[in-house]
Amino acid sequence: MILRRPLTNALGILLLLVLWQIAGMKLGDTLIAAPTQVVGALVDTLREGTFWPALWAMIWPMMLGYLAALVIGIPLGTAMGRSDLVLACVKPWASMFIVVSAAAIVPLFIILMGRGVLFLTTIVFVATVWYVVVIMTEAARNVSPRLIDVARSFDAGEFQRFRFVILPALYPYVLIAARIGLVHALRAMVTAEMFIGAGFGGLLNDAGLNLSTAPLFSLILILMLISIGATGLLRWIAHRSAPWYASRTES
Amino acid sequence: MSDMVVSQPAVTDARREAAAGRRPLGFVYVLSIVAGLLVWHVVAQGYSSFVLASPLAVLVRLWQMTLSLELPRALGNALLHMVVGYAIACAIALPIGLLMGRIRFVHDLFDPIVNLIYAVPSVAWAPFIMIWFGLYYEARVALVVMMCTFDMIIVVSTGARNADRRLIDVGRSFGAGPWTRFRLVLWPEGLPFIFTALRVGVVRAVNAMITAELFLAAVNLGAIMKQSAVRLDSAAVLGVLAVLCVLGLGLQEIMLLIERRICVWRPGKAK
Repeated sequence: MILRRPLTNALGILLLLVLWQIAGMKLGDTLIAAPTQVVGALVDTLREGTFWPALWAMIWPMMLGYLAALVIGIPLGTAMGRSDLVLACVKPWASMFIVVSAAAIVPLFIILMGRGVLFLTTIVFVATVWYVVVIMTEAARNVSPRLIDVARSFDAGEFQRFRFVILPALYPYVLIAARIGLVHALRAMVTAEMFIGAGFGGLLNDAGLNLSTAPLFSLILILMLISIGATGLLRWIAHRSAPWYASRTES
Repeated sequence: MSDMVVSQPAVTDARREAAAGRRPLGFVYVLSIVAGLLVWHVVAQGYSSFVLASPLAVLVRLWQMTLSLELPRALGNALLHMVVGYAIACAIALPIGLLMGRIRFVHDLFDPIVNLIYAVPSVAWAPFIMIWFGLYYEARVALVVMMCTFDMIIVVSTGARNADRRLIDVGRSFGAGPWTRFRLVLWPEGLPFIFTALRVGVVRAVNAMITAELFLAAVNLGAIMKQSAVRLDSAAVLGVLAVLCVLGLGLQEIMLLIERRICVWRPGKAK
């Protein structure tokens, strides 16, 4: 019973790989490269001299924007969740920016700040911060009033209630916000880089022009690994640092 | 009976909140938007109009583009592939999501695949879509489908998985067959999640629509944006952005309205 789930998971992936392999062999690698060819292309891509600098050029502006989004988004979201005034002030802007995608603001930001690191970092920041804010707002609003009432009846002051009740209750959601923010940061970064044709996004564009789709798939696979790896790491941190919240940080 | 007792305070709470808190907060809401526009106006004064146009200039430019029929035509064409892509995405995501939510085997089978594909930023598929569907209408529809489907599958399957076990058990203990259980228990319980998925999907579809027009062959709104960006006509770029923003928020509100109309049995949870 316990083993069944991972077995079915593996079966699903295996099925996908088999179908992919069959499709690849039938249609040829100009249309869809088979997994066996992609593995070869993956090794070639990793050996290529342009790959690692491009990857590095993608990672560090992204991390800069992402960290700035967390540093600003988490306190702002918490404030919005605890104060109706702040909520009413910021909410319209939050919903506006969430609706507009990273792709749509790219042309405007190019006019405003060119195509440098500042541009990339700002795009990632703007695309990430509002998701962090919304998650933290929901979390801070939903801190159980019973917990706060207990603290109040033990005569805890405003600051003490915040420090010892609300902050610990928010902890799992900080990690959820970090995880979801990371997905959006990566989306924004790839969008921006593909638009200006620089770094990793430039590699993706170039791979699209290649006669075989194998290099393209290998780059997509690398993006997949980065994303899964980073979110997995955040999940692991959440689980290790606060296992008693596991039921909440899993989802 | 007990359900009524539990849900009663929630309704009155929501009403009291609406009566007490709506008016002043709505005022702050508007004030915040006005303040933001003012700040934008002041900041725009410091820049040349090529780089950052003021809100008034954007309005004027929008009016010009509307009169010349450039904007309505582009918007109409853009909506066309957005709606088709969204419909296809719904047709794929809703059944798969529901099956994943209700049948453990299907969930375990598809869950890793969905998560793996979801992890990749969807624009990264754009070169692949170009190879398969070219640069025009079909490719735009394909990108919209690609960008909407997986977000929606995740929302629907999570919603369907979290359907309250106890409700289904009550139905079963009263001798309801699978079809009756589905119609009377799962359907009303799951509908709000389906609406959430539709709402998430529609916002994603607006995003995908403009992404497709910018990343594949630049047409419609994407073409206006790209050409204006090259001409350093920031008023037009901001104008298109404003249109997209209003479109996304409007569609989201419409979905919310429909949801409130249909899901009347869930007064507290329709948010």
